[in-house]
Amino acid sequence: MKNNILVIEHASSSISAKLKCDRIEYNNQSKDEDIHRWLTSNKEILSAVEKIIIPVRLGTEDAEYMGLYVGLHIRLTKELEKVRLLPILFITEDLKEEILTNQINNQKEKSALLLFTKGSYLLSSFSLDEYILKPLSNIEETILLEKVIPSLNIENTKDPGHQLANDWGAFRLAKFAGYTLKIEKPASLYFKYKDAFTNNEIVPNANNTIGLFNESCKALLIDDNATSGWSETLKHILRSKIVNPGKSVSLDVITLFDDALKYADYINYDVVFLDLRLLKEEDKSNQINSIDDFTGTKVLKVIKEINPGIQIIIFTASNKVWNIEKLLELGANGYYIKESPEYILSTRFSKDNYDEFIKTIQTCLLRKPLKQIYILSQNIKSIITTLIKNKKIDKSFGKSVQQYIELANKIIDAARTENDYAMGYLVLFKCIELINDNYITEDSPTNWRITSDGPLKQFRYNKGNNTTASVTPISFTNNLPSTFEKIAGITSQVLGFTNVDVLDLYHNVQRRNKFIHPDESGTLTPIQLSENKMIFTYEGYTKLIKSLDLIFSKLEIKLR
Amino acid sequence: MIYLIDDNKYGQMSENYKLDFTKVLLTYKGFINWFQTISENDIGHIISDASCILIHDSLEEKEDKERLVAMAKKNNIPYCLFSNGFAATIFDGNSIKEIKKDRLYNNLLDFINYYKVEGTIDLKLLSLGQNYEIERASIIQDRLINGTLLMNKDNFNYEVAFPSGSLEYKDLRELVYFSDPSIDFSDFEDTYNSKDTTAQSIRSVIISMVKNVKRKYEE
Repeated sequence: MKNNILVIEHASSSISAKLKCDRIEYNNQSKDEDIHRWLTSNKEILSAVEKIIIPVRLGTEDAEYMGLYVGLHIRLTKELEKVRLLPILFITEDLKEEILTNQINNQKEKSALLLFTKGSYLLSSFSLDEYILKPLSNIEETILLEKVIPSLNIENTKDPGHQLANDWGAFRLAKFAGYTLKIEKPASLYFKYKDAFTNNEIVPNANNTIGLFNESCKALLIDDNATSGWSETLKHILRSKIVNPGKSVSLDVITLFDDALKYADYINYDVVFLDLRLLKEEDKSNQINSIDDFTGTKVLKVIKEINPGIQIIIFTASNKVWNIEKLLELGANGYYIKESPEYILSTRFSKDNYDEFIKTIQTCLLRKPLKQIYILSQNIKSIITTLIKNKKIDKSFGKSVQQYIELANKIIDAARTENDYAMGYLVLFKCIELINDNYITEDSPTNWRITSDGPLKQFRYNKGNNTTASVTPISFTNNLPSTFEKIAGITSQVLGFTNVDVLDLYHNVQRRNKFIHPDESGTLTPIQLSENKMIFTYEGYTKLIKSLDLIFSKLEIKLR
Repeated sequence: MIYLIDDNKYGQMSENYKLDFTKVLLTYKGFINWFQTISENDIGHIISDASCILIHDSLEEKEDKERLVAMAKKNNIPYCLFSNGFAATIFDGNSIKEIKKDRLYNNLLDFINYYKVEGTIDLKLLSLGQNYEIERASIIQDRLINGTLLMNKDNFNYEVAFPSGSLEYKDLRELVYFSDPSIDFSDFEDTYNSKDTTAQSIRSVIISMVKNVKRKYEE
């Protein structure tokens, strides 16, 4: 037996018998997955030899040159390691130019290109003796990656292509997140071919970092291909890159478009990852004319209708800027471009794409308070609408408050800088002034009244113990009650606010005053300083809108 | 009637296979019938009317597909299962149990046209295309040279290498016919069934005959 040579041949063939060497039987494996499994299961036998002999026509009725196809699998299957580098003697009486021409003319896989690369030999079975004796060295790995594989041309003819692109995207994201997916890489020749071009890639993000987000995170993935690596990778990213290890992370999954349209619990999620194409029919983007027609866009609209504060990150295989802009206009809070084997851009692109994705998730989670802001705003607006309808409050006052809330929310939703948050706060604060103007009247220069509810009492803030209380005798500075004194009177005397509620109002007013007049004299306590600083975050805005919600909720009860 | 069962849309056919399928269906009306999906109720009708059934292997109605194939086998109706997941063409008696979808659509018009003109099904046209003689000659060439000739290379005997009635014998006869239909195979055998014939010399004859076939189509 010649132990250094192995023949891969059809079960009915007898070349190995003639050459007195081992063989691996080919049993009409036709699918990539079967060929992959068959070869990797024979890795041990293949690893022990120095040369492989394969008839170009491996099957008995083989017009597809399956021997060359198997040769391509050998060169491209990473799991075969050194076997990929072995010299392969392909046997046929045809010339390689003839085979290639045949393949071009008949739209077959251009596997004959392999014959033009280093390490492949094309010969007649009658010349085998000479080549068996001849010393042939393995090709070097760098030659395989830099010369052999780039000389090949393997096209994606598999259906459905969408699935393959999805698999590719998931593996790509996992790679840059430094995570090894538990599912196996697709065994398709095309996937292996494209994957080979990323072999020498140095992935800068592959190290694990610790997430800084110090709250729990409840995320939802809506993707018909969620199970093909996406949910696994996202869980890893949230756990290891975004959220503090001490906090809980959960990721739920919806895979069906119809389920996504009907889902009732979106409000429970801090961030939703939404694939733009949720149906297989959408694989051919040329059948869809407008971004509005995508299933993902339809789900986006449904979620934003429920609460515009729910954070949505769109997954799209499209890098068409105009589509992305439209999605952002419709309320999407960010996007991630799913990478496709059809266009391998560069490692730099993948790194930037990944880094931007991480930043987008972080930003979305920081915007978590928006959801509650919108819940409270919607409640206030709905109370006002009812009060106007029942003629319990002045229509113009009610409408103005609604308009300011809407405007303030737009500003806070788009806020990126400290001043943006403060701007949103100031606009929302206008609602306090509108309430004061609507309910406080001046009977005479020394006599201030709450409309139809008697004289305005005076409330003061006690810096020493951070409390508020009413004081007597009433003595407004310059006989003019301040914004706080007015709103404290209204809410305490008419709406039954507790001292704690009034204290919140005090800080709400002070926050605005100190922003507008930062240089006013007087020292501030640490509590005041901390409260005032909240104007630059969602926290201050949330506190103010909570107070407004309490005011209108109590007003509704009083006027019922 | 040829029945084509493929869930792809017209658009995909035009895009992927450069086939104006609406036109194909009109041109070959009465010879080919296309179903995008099948149900249990269609199976009886198809089986009673089909000369050949071409079925997409990845059809969603998996159970109906399997029933249809089983019924086709039972009724000796040639069938052909196609999918782009198949890299090889694998025959099953007078049927094709695996063929790449691209290949099927590449050869489909020649196949239907032959059926329209001759009234018979020729799966060679579907698997190997219009120039199937060239493909077949090359397949036979490799099969004979890598097989019986290599095995008998050192001690060649024509009757051992090509026993009458064997696959090798049929292959050689078919190749002689493709090369020149006017040659009588018994004359060919008279010439080469001699002690002077070696594996090497018969190999050269086979290569030369395959070249003849190729040349015939080039002309």
